[in-house]
Amino acid sequence: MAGVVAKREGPQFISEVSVRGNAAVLDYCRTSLSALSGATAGILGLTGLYGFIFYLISAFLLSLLLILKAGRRWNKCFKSRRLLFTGGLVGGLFTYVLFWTFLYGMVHVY
Amino acid sequence: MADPELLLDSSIRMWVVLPIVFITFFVGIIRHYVTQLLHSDKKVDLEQVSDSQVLLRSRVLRENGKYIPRQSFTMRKHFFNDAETGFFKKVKRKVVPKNPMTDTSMLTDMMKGNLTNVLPMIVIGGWINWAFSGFVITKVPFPLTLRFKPMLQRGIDLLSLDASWVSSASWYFLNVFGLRSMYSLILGQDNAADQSRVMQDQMTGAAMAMPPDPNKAFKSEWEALEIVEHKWALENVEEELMSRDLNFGTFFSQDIKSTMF
Repeated sequence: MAGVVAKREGPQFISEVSVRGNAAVLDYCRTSLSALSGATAGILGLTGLYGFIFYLISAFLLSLLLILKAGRRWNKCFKSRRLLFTGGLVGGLFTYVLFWTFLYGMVHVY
Repeated sequence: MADPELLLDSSIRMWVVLPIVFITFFVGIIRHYVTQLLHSDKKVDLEQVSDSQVLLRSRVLRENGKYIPRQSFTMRKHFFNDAETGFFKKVKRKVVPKNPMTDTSMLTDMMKGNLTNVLPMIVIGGWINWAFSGFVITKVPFPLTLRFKPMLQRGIDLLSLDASWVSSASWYFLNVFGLRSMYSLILGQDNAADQSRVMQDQMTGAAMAMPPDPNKAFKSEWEALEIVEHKWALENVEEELMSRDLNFGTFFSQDIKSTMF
């Protein structure tokens, strides 16, 4: 992620390209995590509510890690911290359910 | 957890589940490349571009006018707003309403969009439903209510079968939705395989096109520019800067440090 908000007095200059790039990195992390945690949940055999709770926990852990990584200079890279928490949750949920169903079927049904 | 109640043949796994995953995935990738091949550059009218640039220039003048001296600002404002020779007063454009039904470029774009996105999904969904019908594919790990049964278990008429056991069509649709975000992992951003993004683009693209009435835009911009007052923000800049320590020693070393995340 490129930190590109130049600190000057007055209006801040924001590079559109970097904002999009940073959002892309977040999306990448979120999707990878959803896929892997879905696979894990399938292999473990979690069903029903436990599965969804597992997804929420792993999404929350990812947000914590991202905040840790962004550090104290987070407002050089992001407009608001809320984006780190809620970005791409629903898309990730779909991916999670797909991998969860797939691995669950592979391991436990067959 | 309790063992599943049904035991399914492993050849279902090999010949149905995995092929559906591969079909969905490769159709998405193919759709991405086909869209790129069929993509025709949008023809842009020179006059439209220059009009939108003029409006942009006027807006920038309005917002940042306080950074230039009064005479420069007045000169620029005069160019736009003068009663006889000002741009906004003098230039009147002929308005041609863009009817989406008859405008050929938009029509072909819409058709191409529909063709590459909706059609393959319907065709393949129907084929899969026909080819792999009559048996359950897998068990969804979460409990579903009975209302979902007719939707998810096409072609299977067992009343007592748990709604979690799904048929091939529902597995296909689950794949379509789930692989959507995977495409951005593999194809990079801005890929054409992501249907939801394309549909969003279609909706915002129609609104983003230059409003087909540049006259109205000119008039509103004229009014906005008329009422702007110029207050030079740099008036006492010499005294302000000289009166405090500027710390030039550390100014450039710690300023724009671009770090990679």
